[in-house]
Amino acid sequence: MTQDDYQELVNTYGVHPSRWPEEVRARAMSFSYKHPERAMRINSDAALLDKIIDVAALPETANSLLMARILKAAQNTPQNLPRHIETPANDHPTRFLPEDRVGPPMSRWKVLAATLLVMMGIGFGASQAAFARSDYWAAETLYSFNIDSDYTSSEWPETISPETQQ
Amino acid sequence: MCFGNALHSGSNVVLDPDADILKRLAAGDARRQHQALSTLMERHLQAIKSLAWYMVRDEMIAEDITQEVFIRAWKQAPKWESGGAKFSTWLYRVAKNLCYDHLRKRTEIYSDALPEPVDETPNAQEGLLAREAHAAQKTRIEAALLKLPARQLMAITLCHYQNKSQNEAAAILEVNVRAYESLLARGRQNLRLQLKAHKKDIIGDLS
Repeated sequence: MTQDDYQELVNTYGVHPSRWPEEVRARAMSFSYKHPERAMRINSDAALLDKIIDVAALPETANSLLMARILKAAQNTPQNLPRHIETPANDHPTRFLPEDRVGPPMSRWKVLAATLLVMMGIGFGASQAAFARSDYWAAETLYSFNIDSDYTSSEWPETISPETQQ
Repeated sequence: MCFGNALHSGSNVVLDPDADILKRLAAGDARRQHQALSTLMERHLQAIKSLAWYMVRDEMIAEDITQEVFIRAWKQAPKWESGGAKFSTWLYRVAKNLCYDHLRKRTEIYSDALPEPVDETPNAQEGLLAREAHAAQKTRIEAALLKLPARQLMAITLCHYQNKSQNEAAAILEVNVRAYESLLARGRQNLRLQLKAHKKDIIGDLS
Protein backbone atom coordinates (compact mmCIF):
# COMPACT_ATOMS: atom_id res chain seq x y z
CA MET A 1 0.00 0.00 0.00
CA THR A 2 1.34 3.43 -0.92
CA GLN A 3 1.21 6.49 1.29
CA ASP A 4 -1.49 7.98 -0.93
CA ASP A 5 -3.61 4.84 -0.59
CA TYR A 6 -3.20 4.94 3.18
CA GLN A 7 -4.11 8.63 3.27
CA GLU A 8 -7.23 7.98 1.20
CA LEU A 9 -8.23 5.06 3.40
CA VAL A 10 -7.90 7.09 6.58
CA ASN A 11 -9.67 10.10 5.08
CA THR A 12 -12.57 7.84 4.17
CA TYR A 13 -12.90 5.50 7.15
CA GLY A 14 -11.01 7.23 9.95
CA VAL A 15 -8.12 5.79 11.93
CA HIS A 16 -9.75 2.83 13.61
CA PRO A 17 -8.76 -0.40 11.79
CA SER A 18 -12.05 -2.08 12.72
CA ARG A 19 -13.79 0.31 10.32
CA TRP A 20 -11.41 -0.39 7.45
CA PRO A 21 -12.50 -2.85 4.75
CA GLU A 22 -11.27 -6.34 5.47
CA GLU A 23 -9.59 -6.61 2.07
CA VAL A 24 -7.12 -3.81 2.82
CA ARG A 25 -6.89 -3.93 6.60
CA ALA A 26 -3.78 -6.09 6.80
CA ARG A 27 -1.94 -4.08 4.15
CA ALA A 28 -2.86 -0.77 5.80
CA MET A 29 -1.73 -1.97 9.21
CA SER A 30 1.48 -3.22 7.69
CA PHE A 31 2.05 0.24 6.19
CA SER A 32 1.53 1.90 9.57
CA TYR A 33 4.02 -0.50 11.24
CA LYS A 34 6.61 0.02 8.54
CA HIS A 35 6.21 3.82 8.42
CA PRO A 36 5.03 4.86 11.90
CA GLU A 37 5.94 8.53 11.55
CA ARG A 38 4.22 8.95 8.21
CA ALA A 39 1.19 7.03 9.45
CA MET A 40 1.01 9.13 12.62
CA ARG A 41 1.16 12.36 10.63
CA ILE A 42 -1.65 11.14 8.38
CA ASN A 43 -3.67 9.85 11.32
CA SER A 44 -3.56 12.99 13.46
CA ASP A 45 -6.21 14.97 11.59
CA ALA A 46 -8.49 11.99 11.00
CA ALA A 47 -8.20 10.93 14.64
CA LEU A 48 -9.46 14.32 15.76
CA LEU A 49 -12.42 14.04 13.42
CA ASP A 50 -13.18 10.55 14.79
CA LYS A 51 -13.18 11.99 18.32
CA ILE A 52 -15.46 14.82 17.23
CA ILE A 53 -17.94 12.35 15.73
CA ASP A 54 -17.78 10.30 18.94
CA VAL A 55 -18.77 13.34 21.00
CA ALA A 56 -22.09 13.41 19.17
CA ALA A 57 -22.88 9.76 19.93
CA LEU A 58 -26.34 8.67 20.98
CA PRO A 59 -26.93 8.70 24.73
CA GLU A 60 -28.20 5.48 26.31
CA THR A 61 -31.97 5.22 26.18
CA ALA A 62 -34.48 2.60 27.25
CA ASN A 63 -36.61 0.94 24.60
CA SER A 64 -39.18 -0.98 26.64
CA LEU A 65 -41.88 1.68 26.30
CA LEU A 66 -41.31 1.98 22.58
CA MET A 67 -41.50 -1.81 22.16
CA ALA A 68 -44.80 -1.91 24.06
CA ARG A 69 -46.12 0.91 21.88
CA ILE A 70 -45.17 -0.92 18.68
CA LEU A 71 -46.72 -4.20 19.86
CA LYS A 72 -49.96 -2.38 20.65
CA ALA A 73 -49.94 -0.67 17.25
CA ALA A 74 -49.30 -4.02 15.53
CA GLN A 75 -52.33 -5.53 17.28
CA ASN A 76 -54.48 -2.92 15.59
CA THR A 77 -52.82 -3.25 12.19
CA PRO A 78 -53.85 -6.01 9.78
CA GLN A 79 -51.08 -7.78 7.90
CA ASN A 80 -50.87 -7.70 4.12
CA LEU A 81 -51.61 -11.19 2.93
CA PRO A 82 -49.69 -12.43 -0.12
CA ARG A 83 -51.46 -12.67 -3.42
CA HIS A 84 -50.82 -15.83 -5.37
CA ILE A 85 -49.08 -14.32 -8.35
CA GLU A 86 -46.17 -16.18 -9.82
CA THR A 87 -42.92 -14.28 -9.59
CA PRO A 88 -40.87 -14.21 -12.80
CA ALA A 89 -37.68 -16.22 -12.50
CA ASN A 90 -35.47 -13.24 -13.21
CA ASP A 91 -37.19 -10.97 -10.72
CA HIS A 92 -35.85 -10.25 -7.23
CA PRO A 93 -38.02 -12.59 -5.21
CA THR A 94 -36.84 -11.58 -1.78
CA ARG A 95 -37.77 -7.99 -1.56
CA PHE A 96 -41.08 -6.41 -0.85
CA LEU A 97 -42.82 -4.56 -3.58
CA PRO A 98 -43.21 -0.92 -2.63
CA GLU A 99 -46.70 -0.16 -1.40
CA ASP A 100 -47.37 2.34 -4.14
CA ARG A 101 -46.67 -0.19 -6.86
CA VAL A 102 -48.95 -2.81 -5.40
CA GLY A 103 -52.63 -2.47 -6.26
CA PRO A 104 -55.52 -4.86 -5.75
CA PRO A 105 -55.84 -7.42 -8.55
CA MET A 106 -58.30 -6.33 -11.26
CA SER A 107 -61.57 -8.18 -11.13
CA ARG A 108 -62.83 -10.00 -14.24
CA TRP A 109 -65.54 -7.45 -15.07
CA LYS A 110 -63.01 -4.63 -14.88
CA VAL A 111 -60.76 -6.43 -17.34
CA LEU A 112 -63.78 -6.99 -19.62
CA ALA A 113 -64.83 -3.34 -19.40
CA ALA A 114 -61.29 -2.15 -20.08
CA THR A 115 -61.00 -4.45 -23.12
CA LEU A 116 -64.35 -3.23 -24.42
CA LEU A 117 -63.30 0.38 -24.03
CA VAL A 118 -60.05 -0.23 -25.84
CA MET A 119 -61.85 -2.02 -28.67
CA MET A 120 -64.37 0.82 -28.93
CA GLY A 121 -61.52 3.27 -29.05
CA ILE A 122 -59.80 1.35 -31.82
CA GLY A 123 -63.08 1.06 -33.76
CA PHE A 124 -63.78 4.77 -33.44
CA GLY A 125 -60.28 5.66 -34.49
CA ALA A 126 -60.42 3.36 -37.49
CA SER A 127 -63.77 4.75 -38.65
CA GLN A 128 -62.49 8.32 -38.30
CA ALA A 129 -59.48 7.42 -40.37
CA ALA A 130 -61.64 5.78 -43.00
CA PHE A 131 -63.95 8.79 -43.07
CA ALA A 132 -61.03 11.16 -43.45
CA ARG A 133 -59.64 8.95 -46.15
CA SER A 134 -62.98 8.85 -47.98
CA ASP A 135 -63.20 12.66 -47.80
CA TYR A 136 -59.80 12.84 -49.29
CA TRP A 137 -60.72 10.58 -52.14
CA ALA A 138 -63.93 12.46 -52.79
CA ALA A 139 -62.03 15.73 -52.99
CA GLU A 140 -59.40 14.13 -55.15
CA THR A 141 -62.02 12.78 -57.56
CA LEU A 142 -63.77 16.12 -57.80
CA TYR A 143 -60.47 17.87 -58.36
CA SER A 144 -59.42 15.48 -61.10
CA PHE A 145 -62.87 15.69 -62.60
CA ASN A 146 -62.61 19.45 -62.84
CA ILE A 147 -59.12 19.52 -64.14
CA ASP A 148 -58.99 16.49 -66.30
CA SER A 149 -62.56 16.33 -67.54
CA ASP A 150 -63.45 16.77 -71.14
CA TYR A 151 -65.07 20.08 -70.51
CA THR A 152 -63.67 22.69 -72.83
CA SER A 153 -63.64 26.41 -72.45
CA SER A 154 -66.20 26.64 -75.24
CA GLU A 155 -68.68 24.68 -73.17
CA TRP A 156 -68.46 26.96 -70.11
CA PRO A 157 -70.32 29.85 -71.72
CA GLU A 158 -73.38 27.65 -71.94
CA THR A 159 -73.78 27.96 -68.26
CA ILE A 160 -72.45 31.40 -67.42
CA SER A 161 -72.58 33.52 -70.47
CA PRO A 162 -75.08 36.40 -70.65
CA GLU A 163 -76.61 34.81 -73.71
CA THR A 164 -77.43 31.76 -71.81
CA GLN A 165 -78.83 33.79 -68.95
CA GLN A 166 -81.08 35.61 -71.34
CA MET B 1 -9.82 4.06 -5.28
CA CYS B 2 -12.34 1.49 -4.19
CA PHE B 3 -11.38 -0.35 -1.01
CA GLY B 4 -14.22 -2.88 -1.09
CA ASN B 5 -15.96 -5.05 -3.65
CA ALA B 6 -17.53 -3.35 -6.63
CA LEU B 7 -20.99 -4.72 -5.96
CA HIS B 8 -22.93 -4.62 -2.76
CA SER B 9 -24.18 -7.72 -1.00
CA GLY B 10 -27.76 -6.99 -1.97
CA SER B 11 -27.16 -8.92 -5.16
CA ASN B 12 -25.65 -11.92 -3.40
CA VAL B 13 -27.62 -14.78 -1.94
CA VAL B 14 -27.12 -14.88 1.80
CA LEU B 15 -28.66 -16.95 4.56
CA ASP B 16 -31.10 -14.73 6.37
CA PRO B 17 -30.71 -14.96 10.13
CA ASP B 18 -34.23 -13.58 10.59
CA ALA B 19 -35.95 -16.13 8.34
CA ASP B 20 -37.37 -18.19 11.22
CA ILE B 21 -38.76 -15.17 13.01
CA LEU B 22 -40.37 -13.96 9.81
CA LYS B 23 -42.10 -17.30 9.32
CA ARG B 24 -43.54 -17.05 12.83
CA LEU B 25 -44.44 -13.44 12.25
CA ALA B 26 -46.27 -14.28 9.06
CA ALA B 27 -48.42 -17.14 10.31
CA GLY B 28 -49.70 -18.68 13.50
CA ASP B 29 -51.80 -17.49 16.39
CA ALA B 30 -51.67 -13.92 17.61
CA ARG B 31 -49.62 -14.77 20.70
CA ARG B 32 -46.86 -16.43 18.67
CA GLN B 33 -46.89 -13.60 16.17
CA HIS B 34 -46.45 -11.02 18.89
CA GLN B 35 -43.66 -13.06 20.44
CA ALA B 36 -41.96 -13.09 17.05
CA LEU B 37 -42.37 -9.34 16.71
CA SER B 38 -40.86 -8.88 20.17
CA THR B 39 -37.88 -11.03 19.20
CA LEU B 40 -37.44 -9.09 15.99
CA MET B 41 -37.46 -5.84 17.95
CA GLU B 42 -34.98 -7.17 20.50
CA ARG B 43 -32.64 -7.87 17.60
CA HIS B 44 -33.03 -4.74 15.56
CA LEU B 45 -34.94 -2.01 17.38
CA GLN B 46 -31.93 -0.38 19.02
CA ALA B 47 -30.01 -0.24 15.74
CA ILE B 48 -32.94 1.16 13.77
CA LYS B 49 -33.80 3.69 16.44
CA SER B 50 -30.22 4.89 16.73
CA LEU B 51 -29.95 5.18 12.94
CA ALA B 52 -33.06 7.36 12.95
CA TRP B 53 -31.78 9.36 15.91
CA TYR B 54 -28.45 10.09 14.20
CA MET B 55 -30.29 11.28 11.14
CA VAL B 56 -32.85 13.52 12.87
CA ARG B 57 -31.29 14.08 16.33
CA ASP B 58 -34.70 14.03 17.97
CA GLU B 59 -35.79 11.26 20.32
CA MET B 60 -39.51 11.45 19.61
CA ILE B 61 -39.16 11.58 15.85
CA ALA B 62 -36.64 8.75 15.95
CA GLU B 63 -39.16 6.67 17.92
CA ASP B 64 -41.94 7.48 15.46
CA ILE B 65 -39.72 6.42 12.56
CA THR B 66 -38.76 3.22 14.38
CA GLN B 67 -42.40 2.41 15.05
CA GLU B 68 -43.25 2.94 11.40
CA VAL B 69 -40.40 0.66 10.31
CA PHE B 70 -41.57 -2.21 12.53
CA ILE B 71 -45.23 -1.76 11.67
CA ARG B 72 -44.29 -2.01 7.99
CA ALA B 73 -42.29 -5.15 8.76
CA TRP B 74 -45.29 -6.55 10.61
CA LYS B 75 -47.64 -5.78 7.72
CA GLN B 76 -45.31 -7.11 5.05
CA ALA B 77 -44.06 -10.21 6.85
CA PRO B 78 -46.49 -12.62 5.12
CA LYS B 79 -45.11 -11.50 1.76
CA TRP B 80 -41.48 -12.07 2.63
CA GLU B 81 -39.62 -14.81 0.77
CA SER B 82 -36.13 -15.76 1.87
CA GLY B 83 -33.20 -16.30 -0.47
CA GLY B 84 -31.90 -12.84 -1.35
CA ALA B 85 -31.04 -9.62 0.47
CA LYS B 86 -31.19 -9.86 4.23
CA PHE B 87 -34.34 -8.80 6.02
CA SER B 88 -32.33 -6.49 8.26
CA THR B 89 -31.07 -4.68 5.14
CA TRP B 90 -34.69 -4.13 4.13
CA LEU B 91 -35.44 -2.75 7.61
CA TYR B 92 -32.54 -0.32 7.32
CA ARG B 93 -33.63 0.76 3.85
CA VAL B 94 -37.14 1.52 5.09
CA ALA B 95 -35.67 3.49 8.01
CA LYS B 96 -33.32 5.33 5.65
CA ASN B 97 -36.17 6.33 3.33
CA LEU B 98 -38.35 7.48 6.23
CA CYS B 99 -35.45 9.58 7.53
CA TYR B 100 -34.90 11.11 4.11
CA ASP B 101 -38.64 11.88 3.88
CA HIS B 102 -38.52 13.52 7.27
CA LEU B 103 -35.43 15.58 6.44
CA ARG B 104 -37.06 16.77 3.23
CA LYS B 105 -40.19 17.91 5.03
CA ARG B 106 -38.52 19.21 8.14
CA THR B 107 -39.15 22.73 9.23
CA GLU B 108 -37.32 24.21 12.13
CA ILE B 109 -39.16 23.35 15.32
CA TYR B 110 -37.97 24.87 18.51
CA SER B 111 -38.86 23.13 21.73
CA ASP B 112 -38.55 24.55 25.21
CA ALA B 113 -35.74 22.92 27.11
CA LEU B 114 -36.49 21.70 30.60
CA PRO B 115 -34.69 23.68 33.33
CA GLU B 116 -31.53 22.05 34.66
CA PRO B 117 -31.78 20.85 38.27
CA VAL B 118 -29.60 22.91 40.62
CA ASP B 119 -26.51 21.06 41.84
CA GLU B 120 -25.72 21.78 45.51
CA THR B 121 -22.36 19.96 45.75
CA PRO B 122 -19.16 22.00 46.60
CA ASN B 123 -17.69 21.81 43.08
CA ALA B 124 -21.00 22.52 41.50
CA GLN B 125 -19.89 25.76 39.81
CA GLU B 126 -16.83 24.14 38.26
CA GLY B 127 -18.79 21.09 37.20
CA LEU B 128 -21.52 23.25 35.75
CA LEU B 129 -19.06 25.21 33.63
CA ALA B 130 -17.46 22.03 32.34
CA ARG B 131 -20.85 20.57 31.54
CA GLU B 132 -21.92 23.75 29.79
CA ALA B 133 -18.75 23.81 27.70
CA HIS B 134 -19.23 20.17 26.78
CA ALA B 135 -22.89 20.72 25.97
CA ALA B 136 -22.06 23.72 23.79
CA GLN B 137 -19.40 21.77 21.95
CA LYS B 138 -21.74 18.83 21.44
CA THR B 139 -24.48 21.12 20.14
CA ARG B 140 -22.02 22.64 17.67
CA ILE B 141 -20.93 19.23 16.41
CA GLU B 142 -24.51 17.97 16.16
CA ALA B 143 -25.48 21.07 14.18
CA ALA B 144 -22.55 20.51 11.83
CA LEU B 145 -23.57 16.88 11.32
CA LEU B 146 -27.16 17.86 10.61
CA LYS B 147 -25.98 20.34 7.98
CA LEU B 148 -24.47 17.51 5.95
CA PRO B 149 -26.40 16.22 2.94
CA ALA B 150 -28.62 13.34 4.08
CA ARG B 151 -26.75 10.66 2.14
CA GLN B 152 -23.38 11.74 3.51
CA LEU B 153 -24.76 11.79 7.06
CA MET B 154 -26.24 8.34 6.50
CA ALA B 155 -22.87 7.03 5.28
CA ILE B 156 -21.08 8.43 8.35
CA THR B 157 -23.75 7.01 10.65
CA LEU B 158 -23.55 3.53 9.14
CA CYS B 159 -19.75 3.48 9.24
CA HIS B 160 -18.94 5.30 12.42
CA TYR B 161 -21.85 4.73 14.79
CA GLN B 162 -23.25 1.46 13.48
CA ASN B 163 -19.98 -0.22 12.44
CA LYS B 164 -21.54 -1.63 9.29
CA SER B 165 -19.27 -3.32 6.79
CA GLN B 166 -18.76 -1.64 3.42
CA ASN B 167 -21.02 -4.12 1.67
CA GLU B 168 -23.80 -3.82 4.23
CA ALA B 169 -23.68 -0.03 4.23
CA ALA B 170 -23.66 0.12 0.43
CA ALA B 171 -26.62 -2.28 0.30
CA ILE B 172 -28.58 -0.14 2.75
CA LEU B 173 -27.79 3.01 0.81
CA GLU B 174 -28.64 1.14 -2.42
CA VAL B 175 -25.38 2.20 -4.07
CA ASN B 176 -22.17 0.36 -4.94
CA VAL B 177 -19.20 0.33 -2.56
CA ARG B 178 -17.31 2.94 -4.56
CA ALA B 179 -20.22 5.39 -4.29
CA TYR B 180 -20.56 4.63 -0.58
CA GLU B 181 -16.88 5.38 0.00
CA SER B 182 -17.23 8.61 -1.93
CA LEU B 183 -20.19 9.67 0.25
CA LEU B 184 -18.23 8.78 3.37
CA ALA B 185 -15.11 10.70 2.33
CA ARG B 186 -17.10 13.75 1.25
CA GLY B 187 -19.13 13.65 4.48
CA ARG B 188 -16.00 13.63 6.61
CA GLN B 189 -14.44 16.37 4.52
CA ASN B 190 -17.55 18.57 4.80
CA LEU B 191 -17.68 18.04 8.54
CA ARG B 192 -14.01 18.97 8.83
CA LEU B 193 -14.60 22.18 6.85
CA GLN B 194 -17.65 23.13 8.90
CA LEU B 195 -15.83 22.72 12.18
CA LYS B 196 -12.60 24.32 11.02
CA ALA B 197 -13.46 27.65 12.60
CA HIS B 198 -14.00 26.00 15.99
CA LYS B 199 -11.02 23.68 15.78
CA LYS B 200 -9.11 25.33 18.63
CA ASP B 201 -12.04 25.12 21.07
CA ILE B 202 -12.74 21.55 20.13
CA ILE B 203 -9.12 20.44 20.38
CA GLY B 204 -8.85 22.15 23.76
CA ASP B 205 -11.94 20.40 24.98
CA LEU B 206 -11.06 16.99 23.59
CA SER B 207 -7.43 16.90 24.72
